[in-house]
Amino acid sequence: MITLQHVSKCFDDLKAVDGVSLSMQEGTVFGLIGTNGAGKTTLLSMIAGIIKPDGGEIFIDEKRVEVRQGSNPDVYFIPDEPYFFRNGTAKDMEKYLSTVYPDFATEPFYEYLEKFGLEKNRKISTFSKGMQKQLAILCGLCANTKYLICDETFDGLDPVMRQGIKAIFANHMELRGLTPIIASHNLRELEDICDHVGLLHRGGVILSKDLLEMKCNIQKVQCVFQREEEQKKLQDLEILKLEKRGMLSTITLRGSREEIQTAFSAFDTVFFEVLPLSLEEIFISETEVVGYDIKKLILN
Amino acid sequence: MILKNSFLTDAIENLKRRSWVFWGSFLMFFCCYPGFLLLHLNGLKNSISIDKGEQMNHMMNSVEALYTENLILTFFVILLGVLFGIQGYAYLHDKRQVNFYHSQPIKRSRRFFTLWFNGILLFGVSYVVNMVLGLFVAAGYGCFTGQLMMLAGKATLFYLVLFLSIYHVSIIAVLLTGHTLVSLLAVGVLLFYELAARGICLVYENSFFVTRRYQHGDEAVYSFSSPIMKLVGYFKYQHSRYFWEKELFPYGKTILDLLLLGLIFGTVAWYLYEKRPSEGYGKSISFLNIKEPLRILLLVLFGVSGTILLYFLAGQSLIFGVLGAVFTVFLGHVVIQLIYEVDLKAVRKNLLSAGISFLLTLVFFFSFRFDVFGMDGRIPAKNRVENVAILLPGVETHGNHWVLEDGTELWGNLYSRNQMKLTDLDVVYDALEQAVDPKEFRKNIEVSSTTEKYYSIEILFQKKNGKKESRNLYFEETKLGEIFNPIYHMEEFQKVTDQTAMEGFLEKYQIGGGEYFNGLEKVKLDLSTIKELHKAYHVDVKEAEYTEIYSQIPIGKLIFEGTGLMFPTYINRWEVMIYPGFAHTIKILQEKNIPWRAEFSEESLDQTLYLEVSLTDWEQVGSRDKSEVTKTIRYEKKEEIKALLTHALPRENTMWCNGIILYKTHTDDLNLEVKLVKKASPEEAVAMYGEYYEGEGRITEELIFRAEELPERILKDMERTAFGEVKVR
Repeated sequence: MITLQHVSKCFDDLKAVDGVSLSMQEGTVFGLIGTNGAGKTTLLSMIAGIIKPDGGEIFIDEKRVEVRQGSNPDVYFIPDEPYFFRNGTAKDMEKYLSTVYPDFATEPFYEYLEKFGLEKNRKISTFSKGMQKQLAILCGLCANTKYLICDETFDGLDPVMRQGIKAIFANHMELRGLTPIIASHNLRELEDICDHVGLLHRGGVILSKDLLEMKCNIQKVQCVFQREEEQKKLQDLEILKLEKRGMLSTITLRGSREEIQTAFSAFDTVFFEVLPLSLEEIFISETEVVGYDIKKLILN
Repeated sequence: MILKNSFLTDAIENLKRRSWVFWGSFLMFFCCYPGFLLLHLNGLKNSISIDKGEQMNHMMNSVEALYTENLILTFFVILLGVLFGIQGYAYLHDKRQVNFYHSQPIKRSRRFFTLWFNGILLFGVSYVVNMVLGLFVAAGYGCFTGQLMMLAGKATLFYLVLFLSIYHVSIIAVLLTGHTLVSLLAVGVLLFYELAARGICLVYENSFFVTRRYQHGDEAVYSFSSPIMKLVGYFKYQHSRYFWEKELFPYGKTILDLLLLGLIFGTVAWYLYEKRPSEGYGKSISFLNIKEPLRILLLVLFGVSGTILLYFLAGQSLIFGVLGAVFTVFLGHVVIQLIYEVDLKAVRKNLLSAGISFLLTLVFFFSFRFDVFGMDGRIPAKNRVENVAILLPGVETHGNHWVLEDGTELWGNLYSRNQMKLTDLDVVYDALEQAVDPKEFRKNIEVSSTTEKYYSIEILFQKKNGKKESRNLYFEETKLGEIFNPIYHMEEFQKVTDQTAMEGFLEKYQIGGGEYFNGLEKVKLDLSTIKELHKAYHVDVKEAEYTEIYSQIPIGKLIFEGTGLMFPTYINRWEVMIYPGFAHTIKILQEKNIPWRAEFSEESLDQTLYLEVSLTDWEQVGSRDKSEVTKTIRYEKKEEIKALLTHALPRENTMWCNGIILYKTHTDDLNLEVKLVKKASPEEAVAMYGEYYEGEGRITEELIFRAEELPERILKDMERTAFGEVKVR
C-alpha cells in the first residue's frame, strides 16, 4: 500500500501539492484526476522518489520514500514524456533496464514488442509518439515491479491500443498483483479501468473514493410528481442535486438503488425511473457537494 | 561474475553512452603524443640544419619537453576536465532524463560515483594509452631513456590530479545550474571570479591608497587566493624544467596540493549532488537560495569595475563614477536576467537585488576613494608578523641574479623582496612608525602635486598565517638615513641585498677577473686585484652610513666577471657601486693607479669644441614650443670649460644609482641639460655611436652637475633667464 501523509511541495512561490493525504491499496487501479497544473505529476514524482517533498511523508509498503536512497525497487515510473537513449533501440532499453530491475521479464518484453509491432532493433527516435508511449508502458510492465505509476500515459494512444494496454494491465494485476496508479486530466480515460479515484485540484485532494462505492451510493432519478406538495417529502432524502424542467424533475441523491426505490414508492408520482450514472456525473455531484464546479475543473 | 544490479554494471552501462567524449579525448591525446612525436622526430631526424652529433640531444630534449613543459597538453587537460564534468552530469539539466534515472532504485551516491568514476576512467585510459604510444614512438627513434620514463610518470600524475580538480569544479558548476550553457559560464565564474575580484581590489588599492601603489599583482593575487585561485596559480610553474626535475619541491608539493584541492572540490560536488533538487532542470540556478546572493556578487563586480573605469575616463569625476555604477549594474542586471529567465521583460524583476548591488558598489567605491575605514594607513600588527622585507633605495645592486629553490630566476631587488627576513621587529616597527600618515601625504600631494618632500619605501610583511602583504610607506626624505640606518646595518638585510657578499662568492661563481668603470674609462682587473677590491668593498659597505648610500652618486662601479653559474643563463657579470666615501676601495684603486673617478684630461679638453648648458621650463612645454622656453648657454673657452668640468660627472654614473639620487639627478626642478661636444675622427664617432653613424666629425657626451656642486657661474647665468631662478634643492 502507498500512503501519503500531509505531503506538500512548492516550486518557487507556487504551491504545487498542498498537504495531500491519500492511500492507494494494493491490487487496485488508482486513478488520479486533475486539470493541468493540479499537481498530479508532482505527486507521482514524489511517490517515485524523484522529487523530495517539502513536508509530509510517503510510505510504500511501510517503507518511507527517501530521495537519496533512490526510488523504491517496487515502483516503476512512466512519465508523460518518456526518455529513451539517444540512438537507442528497444533492445538497448531492455539491456539497460535488465541491469536496473533484476526481475525484468526479457522474454515477455520481446513477445509484447512483436505483438505491438515494435521492431526491437529500430532506433526509438524513429518511432511515432504513440509507439514510444507503447514502448514506455511495455518497459514499465516488464520491469515487474509491484507498483506502476503512469503519468498521462494513455494520452496519445489510439483507442484500440488503449484497450490492448488495459487488457495487459488487467492480466498483470491478476497474475502478479500489479497495482497501477494512473494520472490523467481526462476523466473519461479512467472510467473503465479505475477502482479508486482521487481528484486533485490546486495541489489538494478534493475527493478520494472507491469507484464502486461511489457508483452504488449515488442514484439519479427522473420523475414527475402528481402534485407539487409531494416534492416536499424529498426533504427526508439526501439530495445532491435537483433540476426541474416543466413537470420533469431530475434528482441526484445519495443512497442505494433499493433504498431510493423504496422511498419513491411512497410518493405519488406519475412517472419514476432510476437512471445509470456515468463517472463524470458522479464526480459532478460529489464535487459540487464540496463546493466545486467540476465542469470547470476536469471535463474537456 | 558481474551482479546484475551492481556499481560495475551501472558503470559499464554508463560507459556505453559516453563513447563520444572518450574518442574526442583519445584524439586530442593522440595528436599531442604519438601523432606529434612521429611528425616532430621525423622532422628533426631529416633536418639538414642540425648537426648530426647534436641530433640525438635535440630529439631527446624535444621528447622530454613534450612530456612536461607542454602548455597545449595542459590546455587539453583543462578542456577535457570541463567537458567530462559537464557531459557526465548534464543529464540533470534534462527533465526526461532526470525522470528516467532518478525514478530508478539506485542510490544517489552510487549514481554520482558511477558517473564520476567513468569520467576519470575515460580520461585516464585515453591519456595513458597515448602517452605510452608516445613512448613507443620515442623508443622507435632511439630517444627512450630512464629519465624520459620518470618524467612521463610524473607528467601523468600531474595531469591526472590537475584533471581531477578541474573535473570537480566543472561538476560543481553543473550541479549549481540547470542549463548546460549556464554551466559553462559557471565554470568560468568559479575559476575566475576571485581572480577578477582580487584584480579589481588591486586596481582600487593602487588607485586610491598611497600605501598600496606598485603592488606586485601576482603576489597580491596568489598569496591571498582561495583553493580555486591556487589552482590557477599552479600554471605559472609548468614551463620550468626545474619543476619537473625536482622531486619533493615544488613538484611533490604541487601534486599534494592539487590532490587536496581535488578532494575538497570532489566532496563539495558530492554534497551538492545529494542535495540538488531534481526539479532544478531548465533553471539557470538549481539551488534557489544561492540565486540572489550570486546575482549580487556578480553585479557588484560589474559595478565596481564600471565605476572605476568611468571615474578615470572622465578625469577622476565622482559624478561619472556614480553614473558608471548605475550603468554597469543595470547592464549586468539585464545580462543576468536574460541568462536567468531568457526574457527581456524580466528586466523589471529582481530590481531589489540590483538596487542592493548598486548600493554595495557605491559603498565599495567611496570607501576606497575617501578611505572611509582608514585602510590606507593600516599595516599588519606586529604580533601577527613573522618577518619583514624592506627595500631601501640605493641598496639593491643591478647585477644580482638569483635562482630560488623552485627554479624561479630573480634579478636585483626581487630577490631581496622574497628572501629578506628581518626578524627584529622592534627595530623595524620603530622605523615604520616614523612613516608619514597617508592622509597627510595625500593632502600634500593634492596641494603641491609633488612628492619631492617624501620618499616611498616598499615594505613586505610576511604574516604568521603564511600570507604576504606589501605597503609603500612614505618617509620624509631628509630623515631617511637616520630612520633606516639601523636596518641597513642588520646582517639579515645585507646578506640578501648584495650577492657578492655571499660566502664564497668568488669561488662559487668562478670569478676570473673584472673591470672598474668610472663613467668615462674602463680598466680591466686581474683576479688578485678584484679579490682585494672585493674585500675592501665589503668593509666599506659595512662601515658606510645609509645616508651616504642613498644620497650620493656613485663614482664608479666594480664589475665581477665569472663563468661558474649554478644555472645556465646569459648573465655572467655582477656589478657593485663605489661611493665617494668608500675609503678602503678608493685607496686600493689609487694604489693601483686605477682612475677611481671620472676626470676630464687635458687631451679631452683640447678636443672639446664647447660645453652647452640648457635649462627648459618643462611646465610650459606643450603649450609652447620647447625652443621658446629653453635657455641655452654655450661655453667655448677652454679654461672656462675646465673650471666647470671639475663639478661635472658623466650622466652614465646617474644610471647606476637608484632611488632618491636617481630621482634627483633627473628631476624636472633641475632641468639642466649638459652636453660636452668634442671633435672626433670618423673612427671615434663610429666607436661611440656604432658603425652606421654618419656624424659631422663630432661626438657629444652627456654630463650632469651634482645638485650640491652646481657651479656658481651657471647658477648666475641661468638666473638671467626668462624663467626666473634655477631651483636647486
